[in-house]
Amino acid sequence: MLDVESIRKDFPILSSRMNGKPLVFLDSAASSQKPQRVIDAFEDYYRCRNANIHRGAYRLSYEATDMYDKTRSRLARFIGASDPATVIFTRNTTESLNLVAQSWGMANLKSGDEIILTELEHHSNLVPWFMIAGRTGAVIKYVPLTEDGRLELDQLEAVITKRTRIMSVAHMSNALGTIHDIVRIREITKAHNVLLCVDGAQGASHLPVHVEDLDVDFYALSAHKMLGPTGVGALYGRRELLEAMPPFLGGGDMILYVTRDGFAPAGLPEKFEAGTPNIAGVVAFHNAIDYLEQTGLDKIHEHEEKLVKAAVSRLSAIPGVILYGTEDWEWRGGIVSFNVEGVHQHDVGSILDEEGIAVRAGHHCCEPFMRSRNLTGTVRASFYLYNTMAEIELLAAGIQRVKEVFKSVVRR
Amino acid sequence: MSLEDDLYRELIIEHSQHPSHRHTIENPTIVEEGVNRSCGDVVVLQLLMDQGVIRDIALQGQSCSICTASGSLMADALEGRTTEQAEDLIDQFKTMVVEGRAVVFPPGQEDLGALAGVSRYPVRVKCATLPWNTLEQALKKR
Repeated sequence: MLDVESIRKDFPILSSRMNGKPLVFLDSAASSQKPQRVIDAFEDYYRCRNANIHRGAYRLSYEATDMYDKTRSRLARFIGASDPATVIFTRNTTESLNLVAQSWGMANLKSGDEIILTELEHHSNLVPWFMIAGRTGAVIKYVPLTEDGRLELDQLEAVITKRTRIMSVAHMSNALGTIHDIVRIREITKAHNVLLCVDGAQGASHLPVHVEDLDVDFYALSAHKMLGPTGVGALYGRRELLEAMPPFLGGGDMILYVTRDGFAPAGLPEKFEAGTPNIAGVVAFHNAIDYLEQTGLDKIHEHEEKLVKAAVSRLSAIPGVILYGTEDWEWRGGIVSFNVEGVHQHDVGSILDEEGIAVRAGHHCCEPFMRSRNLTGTVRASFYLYNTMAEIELLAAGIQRVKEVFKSVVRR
Repeated sequence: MSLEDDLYRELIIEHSQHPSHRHTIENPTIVEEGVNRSCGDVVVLQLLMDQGVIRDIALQGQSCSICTASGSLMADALEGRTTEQAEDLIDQFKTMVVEGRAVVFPPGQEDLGALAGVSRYPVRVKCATLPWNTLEQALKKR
């Protein structure tokens, strides 16, 4: 069991107020809050340790490089990658997925090759593939979804053909909270020599992840959803794949040497890290990983499961609330997507905001899914280690308030 | 200040639940689509123009209550008006909602004042202005 009250004390923003009410932060799926130690590490870096990495002939630069690389090793251990050089720092999950699509895709996809996605994917796991498909002539195919937003994995084999080269899928859906069965997807894709790329934006922050046990080819994540700073992401890739891939962005740091006629790229991981990275963010990210590991991803997941069950049970008891997503709890993370009948989700969001409750309202960057369900969007409450049962009661009360404001007015 | 006084006044809820001018114009002079990229709201505006006068105006699309009500009130206010009057009204409406300044609307268009409170909710200003921006684009096509 998590000691949530003590955890909350570590997050300064959680004791603040919004619109005169105590802040109820239910939007961690968009970006998590940060514990004091991450904020401190950020400040400490700029105050006492700031220097560029990989270039100074002086102690400060050497130490900055060391801290930067230590976070890489820390992250590699955290996600179960035995070789830190297979963990590339990027800006965010989006950039990591673009790296795979552009670099691997340009080198490997031919006209008529197939990429498998799902309609539930975030735009960041759709658009990069659309872009590379447009440039290479590759074709996008989709695994069908069940009514409650799970993948019809029985049909995956039927979607795969001899031309299928890669499948890219989220570990956990940001729109519905569905957790996908990566183990089974891996079995099927591997049997057909199809690469597997996982969008771990929600996965790495909420589930225990071991990329080598999962046996995935690529795994993308964002630090800011894992209690860390914005502007830092990572891509894990299987070594032989990364080695064979051409560089993504060109510039300083990613080269072995440059002549007037060309360049030779550096080895891993520098090959994919052109230019000065977000050093302060990477350094602070170390503290976020420490915090998550000390708390325990298994315990965090257990806590979120408790919250999501309570929220679904509480909200489904309110007439007019429509809930989306599976109730097979083994495959459901801490996200509750819903609508209030007859009220647009932005109006629900505004009224909850007035009550100090921060939720996301809209299509959650999952337009194809929303269109497939004929929805303009949903209201999304997402939970993390610092959320409480009391906050679910406040959410329920907020929804009652929505209904009160929007009670049908008889036209004069 | 409360939500019901500021943002969700009875007139707004009424217009959002029963918007006017939701019909389709058979041979519109101008059709313009407006989209709020950040939230996905869509407004499709049809105008039937006749010698510089808006003879008919219709709105379709999917949007939140503020946007729907704003479009409904806009259409009510503009039917039978000239393009010049429409352009003046666009300016007045934006002055009220975007700049948060007091505006006195011409007789018959006073209902638009019900949206004045939106200016105090910066997140929602773009909801109220979407139909008006769409109209502005449409009139440029004349």
